[in-house]
Amino acid sequence: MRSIVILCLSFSWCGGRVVAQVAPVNENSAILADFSHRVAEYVKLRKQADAGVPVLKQTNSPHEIAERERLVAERIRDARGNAKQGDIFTPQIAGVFRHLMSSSFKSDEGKQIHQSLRHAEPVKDVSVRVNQAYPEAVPLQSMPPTLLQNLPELPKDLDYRIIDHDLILRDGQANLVIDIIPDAIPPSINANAHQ
Amino acid sequence: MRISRILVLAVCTACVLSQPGRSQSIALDQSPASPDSRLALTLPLEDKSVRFAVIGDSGTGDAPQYEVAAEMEAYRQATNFEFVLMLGDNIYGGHSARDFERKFERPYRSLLDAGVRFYASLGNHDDPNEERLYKPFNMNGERYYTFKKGNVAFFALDSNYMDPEQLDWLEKELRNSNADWKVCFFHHPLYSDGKFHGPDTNLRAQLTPLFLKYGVNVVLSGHEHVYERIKPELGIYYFVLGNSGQLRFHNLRPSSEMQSGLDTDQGFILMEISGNKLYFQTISRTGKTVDASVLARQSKPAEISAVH
Repeated sequence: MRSIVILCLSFSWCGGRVVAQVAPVNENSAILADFSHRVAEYVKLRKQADAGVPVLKQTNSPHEIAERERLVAERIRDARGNAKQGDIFTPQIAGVFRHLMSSSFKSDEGKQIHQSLRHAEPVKDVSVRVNQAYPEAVPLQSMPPTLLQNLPELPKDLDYRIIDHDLILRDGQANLVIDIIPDAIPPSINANAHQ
Repeated sequence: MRISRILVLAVCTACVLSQPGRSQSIALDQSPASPDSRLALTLPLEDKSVRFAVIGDSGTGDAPQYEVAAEMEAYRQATNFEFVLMLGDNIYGGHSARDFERKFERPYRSLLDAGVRFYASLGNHDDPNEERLYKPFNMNGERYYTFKKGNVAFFALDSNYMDPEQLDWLEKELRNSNADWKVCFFHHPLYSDGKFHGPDTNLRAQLTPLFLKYGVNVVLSGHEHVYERIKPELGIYYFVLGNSGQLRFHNLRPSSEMQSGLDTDQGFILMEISGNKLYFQTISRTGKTVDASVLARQSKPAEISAVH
């Protein structure tokens, strides 16, 4: 399953616009190819937004870094003015992701993943919205490595994050929430409690 | 018995240095080269050795962080350590310019002015985007990176997000490294007797095979707001240091895996690597040496694997 997913994603990201040329091996792979296509579209938009802001190398000034992040985020927000939850994680894509997450928790490594989540610093009671910043002072919950291996790989600077039971797709450089899958983690998993 | 209430010193005086995974205790009352008679320096300060300090979960901006930093400066004057490894949670809370000033630049001003370089790894409270571009953290704009000092290679990992790409990168870098010592540092501990978090076993399952295959010698982590030295696991030396600013009082639940620990004060570690030996000294906020020993370099990866 994972090799199929990677195959579909690599085709669509390397070639862009080629999703239709990759014959879906099964229904899930077609849905995930759609996901990769939507992500590629976002990356294209993001590059345009980024191009209008001076490149920033390392600096002694946190203010400069924050200012650039703000400018990029502002341009992305403007370009995605009508963005709403489900634009990238469509109901079909969200369904496949929920299945992938659920399968991970049911796998032989499920106990480790669960433990890893609980031993991180679970983030809860935080409200985030699509096209808005991930709250600055809220820690980013670490992602269990096995969970990341079971989800489609993302282009550089995008990442998956968990808040409570939701899965967030985040633009790291702009610190923007791109999309959200509510209740991506099975309700039976208590990801919040410390042991 | 709650041995974590007091400093717990390594007492394996019969240990043999040539055996991997063994340590030798050092008498703590020796002060061979300290210009400050108050300092109980146990490092040998050998020629051409690699000397550095380690801090974790430091960036609170509160008084204890400043007090630890003052002790670090006192020991820098005595040892001339060259750089500092940061084990994550370098800046808590907001990440404005004022936060960087209050939680990093001001407490470590004297070290920075003396030319000491800081090498940061990312914790869950850090802002990856801001900190990797912040020049004084020497991350070269990356979430994970490597650098070499003398015969020691250091690998800073982002344990918040150990994706397949990072694992591939780590394997490639470890495979290509010809350093005598390989030190990995990152935020989340693979082993820990801390009550609040405990070990990240999923991360451990991913990283340990690489550490064993390519002969990683030492692993440094934070996250747990205590100090703990773990007995060598599969021949690898593990330290947890998450109390250089933060402190979770009485939070150690010592198991048979714990070699020594401190959960009643903040602190930092001094390390010196010379030839096949790693000397270290863990110093509390009040200047007390709470752990010190010398560790022998494990000979070969195959030998490490053969331990278990």
